[in-house]
Amino acid sequence: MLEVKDLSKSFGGIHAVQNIDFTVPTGRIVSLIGPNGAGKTTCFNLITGFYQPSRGHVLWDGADVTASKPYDMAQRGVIRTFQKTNVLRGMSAFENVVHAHYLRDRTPLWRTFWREPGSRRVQAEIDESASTLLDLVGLGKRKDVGAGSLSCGELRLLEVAVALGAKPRLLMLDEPAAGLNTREAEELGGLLRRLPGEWVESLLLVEHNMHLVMQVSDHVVVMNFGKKLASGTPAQIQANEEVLEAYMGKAA
Amino acid sequence: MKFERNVMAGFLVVAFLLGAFLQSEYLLHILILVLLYTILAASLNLIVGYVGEFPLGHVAFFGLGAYSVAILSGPDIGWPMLVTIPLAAVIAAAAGWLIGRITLRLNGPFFVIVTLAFAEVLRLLAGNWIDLTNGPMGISGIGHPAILDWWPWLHGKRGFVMMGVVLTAFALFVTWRVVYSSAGRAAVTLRENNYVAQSIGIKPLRYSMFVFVVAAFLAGISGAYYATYISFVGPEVFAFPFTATMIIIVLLGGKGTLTGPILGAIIVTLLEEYLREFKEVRLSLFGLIVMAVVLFAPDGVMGYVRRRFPRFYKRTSHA
Repeated sequence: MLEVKDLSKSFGGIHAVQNIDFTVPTGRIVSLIGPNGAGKTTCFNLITGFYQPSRGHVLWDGADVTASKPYDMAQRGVIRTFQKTNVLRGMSAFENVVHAHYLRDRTPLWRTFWREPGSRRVQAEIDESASTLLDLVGLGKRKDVGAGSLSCGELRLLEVAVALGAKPRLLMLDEPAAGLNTREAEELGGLLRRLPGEWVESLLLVEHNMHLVMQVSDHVVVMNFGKKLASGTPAQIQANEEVLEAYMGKAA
Repeated sequence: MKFERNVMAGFLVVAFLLGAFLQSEYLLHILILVLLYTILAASLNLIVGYVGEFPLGHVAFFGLGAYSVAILSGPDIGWPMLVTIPLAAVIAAAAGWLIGRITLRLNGPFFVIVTLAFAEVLRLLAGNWIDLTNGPMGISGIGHPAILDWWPWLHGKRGFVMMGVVLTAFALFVTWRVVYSSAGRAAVTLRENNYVAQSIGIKPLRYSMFVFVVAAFLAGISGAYYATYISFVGPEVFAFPFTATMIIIVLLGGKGTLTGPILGAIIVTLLEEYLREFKEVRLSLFGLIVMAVVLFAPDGVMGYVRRRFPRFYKRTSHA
């Protein structure tokens, strides 16, 4: 579904991402892992158009979408979250998810003053979908709490609900488990496992929590210093010497 | 949402009844000022409250509306008011589009300064382009809409109150629709978090631009209303006092609330009249009020009401 070919990005002399290739097939969970500064988030920004790649291509359903604008990628069905928590702080959790339904809500500008027949039904539908999504991520009881008052872990879950509100085909989560405790991370893992097929077509993760990655992924891509180090199933990665070396250092 | 609609409708009904039964010319004049400032503040509030930027040059659109009516209805062109008032709003909106294209790419202090510069440029133009604007002398003897002559009851100030009620109703309807529309929600999403907005598919400039143009349109209407009521327009319509008044109204009433501009307009107009005997001290007092509001109630009076009674406002689940 998503195909990344020879993707590279340099900032001045720094090669943040070099010749990265991978694919995300329909119905799969693919994880991008690697030590800090390996270029994982840069990869996300390149795919979703927040950065322009220096070289290489991003293919979506076979069509070249390299360097499309972020809103353009979202309209094609690629929705991402951010490493640093980003929500609409001034609003309740429920309103956050309601606002995330923009693509469903969208009307021509002149319709602002002359409402479409059936716009009430669309609003009711959005309200219902927002409630369902909050229940799905386990924030059902915290619906009407201001986003500014939610805990760090709850904000992470709210971000997932906001992203799901945009009805992605490919959901890209940037460190969804950062700041979660062990139990919360476990629950998140269960949630992520349920997503493909029912809520999204596929999932691309950047994650540092190895336990979570190994538990949910179908395929893992390891990056180090901007380059692809290895890729394979979780079991293959766990047995890969180069990967162990990158993470743990060389055996004496 | 219902609460806000009822407040707005209630305000219009009260204004209509007061206009219909008040006999004092002075009170009718104050009522007209309240209506005028409501439109102007509702327009500024769209930008301050829903785009999240702070224009110091919003008066540019007000002045453009006023001058457009003065020139187009003046002896040289002589079009009827029923045509020139909407046209004045369209001219202001077109200027809004132009200025928005330049300024909405900026934010924070840059936006403030560039919008202020636009208003100043227009003020200098109005003062120096003698052929078009009659320079510092201004344009006097602007007529009133012919429709007010049809019925003796509408002669004089009462007619302007009724005209104000109609224009305010229109302005409040427009702001209400904008705020509770897909475009309004997109604008608020952008204001709250630009990155989230883009990542869920919102094209940034499109919505801030839309709200900006609508706001300019409404400011143009209020300018046109001002010109025909005062029957005189001079370069001072682009000057700072109007800017200061509308900012005070929006901050005091509550930015980002639909009913704030109404409440702010009533309070500020009455205060201005009440404090008139204090002459220059009046402005200092206003300064103190604004500082107090910014420090202690950053969301104004209606912002306080919204915090206190969230159920009047929040979109909550119906489950």
